[in-house]
Amino acid sequence: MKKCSRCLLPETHETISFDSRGICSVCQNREFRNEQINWSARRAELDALITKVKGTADYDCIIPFSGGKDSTFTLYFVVKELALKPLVVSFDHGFYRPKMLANRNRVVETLGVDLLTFKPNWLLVRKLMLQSLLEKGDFCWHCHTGIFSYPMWIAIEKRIPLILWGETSSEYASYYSYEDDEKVDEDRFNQIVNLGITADDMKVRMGDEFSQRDFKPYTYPSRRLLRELNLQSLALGSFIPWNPREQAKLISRELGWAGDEVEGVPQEFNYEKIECYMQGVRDYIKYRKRGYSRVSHLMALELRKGTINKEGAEKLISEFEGKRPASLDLFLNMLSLSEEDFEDIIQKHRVDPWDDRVMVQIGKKPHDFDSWQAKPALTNKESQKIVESFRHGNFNN
Amino acid sequence: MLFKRLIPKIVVEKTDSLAPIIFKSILTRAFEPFRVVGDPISQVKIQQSNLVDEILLVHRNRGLFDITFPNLVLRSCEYLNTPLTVGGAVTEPSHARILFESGADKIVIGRARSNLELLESIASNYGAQALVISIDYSDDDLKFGVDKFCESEISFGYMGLAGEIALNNKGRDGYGEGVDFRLLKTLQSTTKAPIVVGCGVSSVEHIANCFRAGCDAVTLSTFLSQTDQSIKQIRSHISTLGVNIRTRN
Amino acid sequence: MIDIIGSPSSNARAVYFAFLDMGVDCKIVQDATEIHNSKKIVLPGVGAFGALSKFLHDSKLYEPLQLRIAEGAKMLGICLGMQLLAEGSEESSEYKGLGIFMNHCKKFEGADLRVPHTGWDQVSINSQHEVLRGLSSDFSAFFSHSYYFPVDINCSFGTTEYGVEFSSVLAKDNVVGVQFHPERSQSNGRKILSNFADWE
Repeated sequence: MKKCSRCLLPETHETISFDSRGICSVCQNREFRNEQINWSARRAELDALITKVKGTADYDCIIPFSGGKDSTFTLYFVVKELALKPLVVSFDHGFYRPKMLANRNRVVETLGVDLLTFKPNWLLVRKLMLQSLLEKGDFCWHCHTGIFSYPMWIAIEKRIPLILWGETSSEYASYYSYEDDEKVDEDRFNQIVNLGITADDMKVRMGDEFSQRDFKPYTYPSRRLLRELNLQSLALGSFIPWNPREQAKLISRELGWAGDEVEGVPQEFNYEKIECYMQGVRDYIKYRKRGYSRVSHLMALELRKGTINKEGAEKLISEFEGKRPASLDLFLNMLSLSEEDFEDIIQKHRVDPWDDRVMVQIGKKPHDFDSWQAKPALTNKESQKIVESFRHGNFNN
Repeated sequence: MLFKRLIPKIVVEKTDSLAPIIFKSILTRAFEPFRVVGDPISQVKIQQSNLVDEILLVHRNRGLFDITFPNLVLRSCEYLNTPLTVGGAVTEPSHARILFESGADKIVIGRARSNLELLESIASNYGAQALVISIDYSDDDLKFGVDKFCESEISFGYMGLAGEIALNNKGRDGYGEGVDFRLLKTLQSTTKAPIVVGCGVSSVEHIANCFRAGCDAVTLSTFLSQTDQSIKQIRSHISTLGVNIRTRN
Repeated sequence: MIDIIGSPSSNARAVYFAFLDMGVDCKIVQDATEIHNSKKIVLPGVGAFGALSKFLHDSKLYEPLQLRIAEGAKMLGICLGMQLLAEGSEESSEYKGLGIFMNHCKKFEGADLRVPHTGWDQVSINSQHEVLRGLSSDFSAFFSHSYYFPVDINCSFGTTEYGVEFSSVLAKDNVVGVQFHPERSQSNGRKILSNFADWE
């Protein structure tokens, strides 16, 4: 597999391309970020925007919040630097880890903000997970779409004119470049977030078993509604340079935010993706599909900054990536899937030219593994029905 | 330099005869309905967000042409800024007129041999560039050889009318076993029109192969629906493989 | 208010929807009385040169259009609409164009050239223009045509290479023409339409 000569991201990384030096588009984009963005001009834009919206509604803005380092930093910045009154909105995907919940409570209590949490219907969520795994080799559709849609509905209901997200996608991929005006809007939702399936489509794929109302949390609001409110949905990372490591240090210091051991990731990166206990399965599936995963991403960031060399990066990647996570058993039980079914499903999602001929090694169980809830599982019958319908068609006239 | 094109194909069918008419987008196998996969308007929006080169919207039903499909086309066009080709159930010039008025840029017609008058009418009123002729064939049709089959199609006299020729091997549709472009070379020496191929893509390599063989565009249906690969991703991937494809707008 | 000429075979509706989506006031017009006071006109067109020319004559739009242009109304010709700004075309030699540009359109010829020129191709900007504001010097747009407007240093603001170099953007005073379809060229196309709407 071809890999970037600078950051080692492979050709199976979505939207990657390489120049004549063998340097990838994400690195090239990064060069632009470091050299050409006028950050003070961008900050001035943000300040001007803030001045316009401040005090015009019950809350100045909505901060979608997961408890991870990015949303925590964003919240901190909004309260301390921008002096705004936010409504913190947390979409509960169902797999929050104990430390993350502790983080969340500590952070909101320390900063002094209002928090709204939403936990969607689990009976629908578990079916969405299986359907999404079949369709796209990615079981997180409900989470991707819920996180980006639900807070929009709250903004509309409460007539709050601004939603501020965390980092831009250019930090990780080349869907947008830094020169582009990356708004967190429906276009972006359709390109990066929803895996090419909207709530309307998913409702159809699930045989219209659930109603439009059931799908509302995953549905992106219409342009008309958004225009009416003149809702601005922007990433803080468009206005200030993003430095995850430094930001993690800051929030630990100022808010007592704590990192956590993450399945399949070296200990020193305990600030990354700590909030979800299905992250290990997610990373493993990505590895099986594309031949690289979270550690490669982390190494890419470090290589670009020059804080590690290629040899060191390769060593960590081979040590930590591609191991079967303990959480896979939880996952398979929840969806009533056999290991065979699972293999059959993910092999169909392999991305060229990765050939997935890997020995399956077992990964280490994180310290809080036993506290990870086994939720009410799909019955075998329900699970098979969904799988069969996908494999053999569901057309009825 | 003219770029190669990636074209998502959205096949629609009316699926509920009792309720108010609802079009759903479907996946097909050998041109027969296989799975219902979504809402057509939603799919058009998604593809547009992914900077596809064109969108192909096909009505699979062979029933009577009525206002429902043009209405669907009209609704798809509300925010559309991507070229749109539509087809299916067009049997008369008036059908074509209604579809163009609803916002279609091009119309695709199959069964060319028996639709000569219709093809002539569209070409003369709207120009050849508005007409795509689809040659839908099976392996069986080629049993006397590729050249014999091409000769036969050419003899019907429709080749010169097309602004574009689409080649679809029905048997490959939905099976993901690669695209059949055996007819390509012969047809390229016969007609000047660009040639679009489809049916059977299940990997990026399949797509790259089509372009390397000389096709001008590739249509994709099942591949986009049942993998997490979007057009934007595919673009970067095949560009790295050396295909001259648009990578940014 | 932008008046969009709605000839029967044009895709005026697509242009109309595009402006509407941008919040620009516009309407589709089909006869001479409707362009009496037009300050901004768009002439889209697909199909044959002769057919569009005939429509303009039959609906008595031909002279009023020339008059509006002479009086300073801003005009955007799209695809065949751009070609109609010329004197004539090889495509339909018996029909006349509006004669804003003293050129004739020609057919694409070439052994290995696929015709029509269909798909996304590069426009190289030769000279700056209001309508091209904010676009990169080489931008891509969607083309669909078999005839082309040759390069003319007096009026070619943008050119494209396809077997031959041809004019993809024309401009002279208050008239602009684009060979490609801005209403179908995604963000680049929207920029052009928006620039035309803002053009003072």
